[in-house]
Amino acid sequence: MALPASFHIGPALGRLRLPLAPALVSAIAHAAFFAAVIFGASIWSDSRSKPVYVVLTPSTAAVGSPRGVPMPPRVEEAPIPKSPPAELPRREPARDLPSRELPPQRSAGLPDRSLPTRSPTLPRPADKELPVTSSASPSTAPAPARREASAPPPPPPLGAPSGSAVGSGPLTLSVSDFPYAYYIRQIQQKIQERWHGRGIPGQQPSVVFEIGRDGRLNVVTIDRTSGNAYYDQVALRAINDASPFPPLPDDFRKAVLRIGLQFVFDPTGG
Amino acid sequence: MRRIAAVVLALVIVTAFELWAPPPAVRGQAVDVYINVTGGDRSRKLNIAVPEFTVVAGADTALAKLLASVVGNDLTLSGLFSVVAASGAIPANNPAALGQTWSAFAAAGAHAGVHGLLGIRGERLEAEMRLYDLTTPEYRLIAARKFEVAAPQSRRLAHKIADEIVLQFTGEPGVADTKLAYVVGPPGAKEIVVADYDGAAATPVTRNGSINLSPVWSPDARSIAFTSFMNGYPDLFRLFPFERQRPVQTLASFVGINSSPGWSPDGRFLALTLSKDGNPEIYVLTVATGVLQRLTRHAGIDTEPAWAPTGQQIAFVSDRAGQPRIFVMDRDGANVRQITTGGFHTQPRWSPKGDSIIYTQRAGTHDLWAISPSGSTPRPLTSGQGDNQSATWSPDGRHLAFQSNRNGRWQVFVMSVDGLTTTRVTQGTTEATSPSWSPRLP
Repeated sequence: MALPASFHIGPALGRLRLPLAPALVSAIAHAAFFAAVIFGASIWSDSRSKPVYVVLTPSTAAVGSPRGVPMPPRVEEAPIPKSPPAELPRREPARDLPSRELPPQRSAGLPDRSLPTRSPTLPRPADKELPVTSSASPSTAPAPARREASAPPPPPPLGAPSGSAVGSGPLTLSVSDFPYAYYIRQIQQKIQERWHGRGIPGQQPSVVFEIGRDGRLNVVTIDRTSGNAYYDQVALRAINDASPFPPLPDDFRKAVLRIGLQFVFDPTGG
Repeated sequence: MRRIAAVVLALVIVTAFELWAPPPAVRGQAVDVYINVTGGDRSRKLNIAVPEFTVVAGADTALAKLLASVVGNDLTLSGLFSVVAASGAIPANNPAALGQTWSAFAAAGAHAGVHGLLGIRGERLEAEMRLYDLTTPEYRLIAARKFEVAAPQSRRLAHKIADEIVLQFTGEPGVADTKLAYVVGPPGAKEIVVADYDGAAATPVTRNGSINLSPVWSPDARSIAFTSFMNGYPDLFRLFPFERQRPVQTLASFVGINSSPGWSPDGRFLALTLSKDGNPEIYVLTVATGVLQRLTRHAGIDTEPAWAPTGQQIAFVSDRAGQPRIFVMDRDGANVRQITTGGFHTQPRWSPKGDSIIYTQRAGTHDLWAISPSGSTPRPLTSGQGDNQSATWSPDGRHLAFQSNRNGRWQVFVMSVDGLTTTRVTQGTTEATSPSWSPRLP
């Protein structure tokens, strides 16, 4: 059927009003939708893999030695290529981290409430002591700052063991999240005893896993592969064999503890 | 029209929001801690302070002192801790004093501190254990737990606390709240005794004046199977050490030898050696019904069955290869294979985790050896210290109890499987042999 040359609007059509408002709403919604998709994608990819590579040699995680006994010498940190300071913490604002101002004694009904505690306004050595470079001497840098920081509080903790997580090297990055050096040490020791991948040169995998409140292992994933499926499996098996881990400390309130773990080939170790 | 537009808009917004919000797995991606694991770190012990318990109800300072020392001894025996010496109690409800105490212990090198609060209420004993991390300036609380026992079982209170401390530091409870059964007495009369795993509170559980041998705890820790000559022949019985009125039950009294009981992991079956059909063979007895199933058929001696923790395999001793060696067979007697060679091997004991079998090798003296169930990598656990035999595993597989005459008379010793610590647990007044380590008590 051919169209007529001139288009006459009949009375019914003449009364029709174009749906301008809904069209406008639709346009805005579409724009919002695509903006959200693009924005969301960028956030997603940003938050997807944010491993914080921290070099921690065994002596750093050890809970310390009795007074007067020097810490064992640090092992070379060579095997981790990825720890230049530029890549250090691009941390998100701590939205799901436990508040740092919580009083140290929160167990219900305990009479002893006023153990010597640090004023929350004091700068935590942990936040101050990020090493300038990963090769900065860990034994000298943190120690003096630690004394400064802990001098003001009422009864200074006499001779707190030297190797705690606070102020001893790169682990300080995470101190505000999980200040239980003994716990880290136990996990590390348990896994180490069961890891038979040592003596294998080349890159080792890094693994992310979660520990539930009762110490059970929740999720284990390879965060960065070693490039060799066998070594990845050996690392995963070590973690599985090492579980169950200690129950999470009563004072640590999160439902799970999430741990990133880098296996390191250490030629100097036995 | 307007309503449709609103619905569409709402849908778009919801969809967009869902797409924008990252899924939960991604949201939780940030790690709390990042650590490295390298080879070569030697295990080090944790220094722990156990000051005298604080009495909060009732009055028994001697008990408060005893509990602290028992906890300290348990932690030492665990092989995981060095206990920092302590004296004097912490006053109740005095945070300042507690803080000063921890400061002093931290200065002395302690990594953790245990504060016990003891309440004595009539026939009940209550204790609260508070465990502190002394490596943090705040002395953070690691855990607070309460325990309760009947007054005569005061040492169990300490054992339970020690086991909880081991759990808090390793993820697996300790084995302090367990018992040892063993045989005492000079030749001619041998009776079975039950004691705490550290040798304290030894109590006789047979008093028949006969010869009672090879006690073995059942997996529910309620009964002990043993061989006794109380009726004149070597028959197999079962006693109930915690139910004093309950009589001894006869399990097997066939013609000939009835000996070397081995419980299945579920406690429903007992593997044993019977010579009723000629030479000693291994059978499985269904405890509830008395039904017997014969597993071995060989002209040689087959004896000392020991179940794998899976219940699917049984290790045993056989001299079918000339000298006694360790063999493994399936639960039904099939698929027999020899796992030790070149020696005189007896007393197999399968580890609770299934990864190792302990046995006794005779080569001049008797010594304990460990081998994998596949027969690879045999290694000695004792050497050069008299005779060492009759091993029994602790429930966590980290310790062994065994008998040794290294000091002259047979005594029961406890050693860590890594060989780093060995402690004598019996008192030495008579011979003590053939220990069996109970499961964790209910």
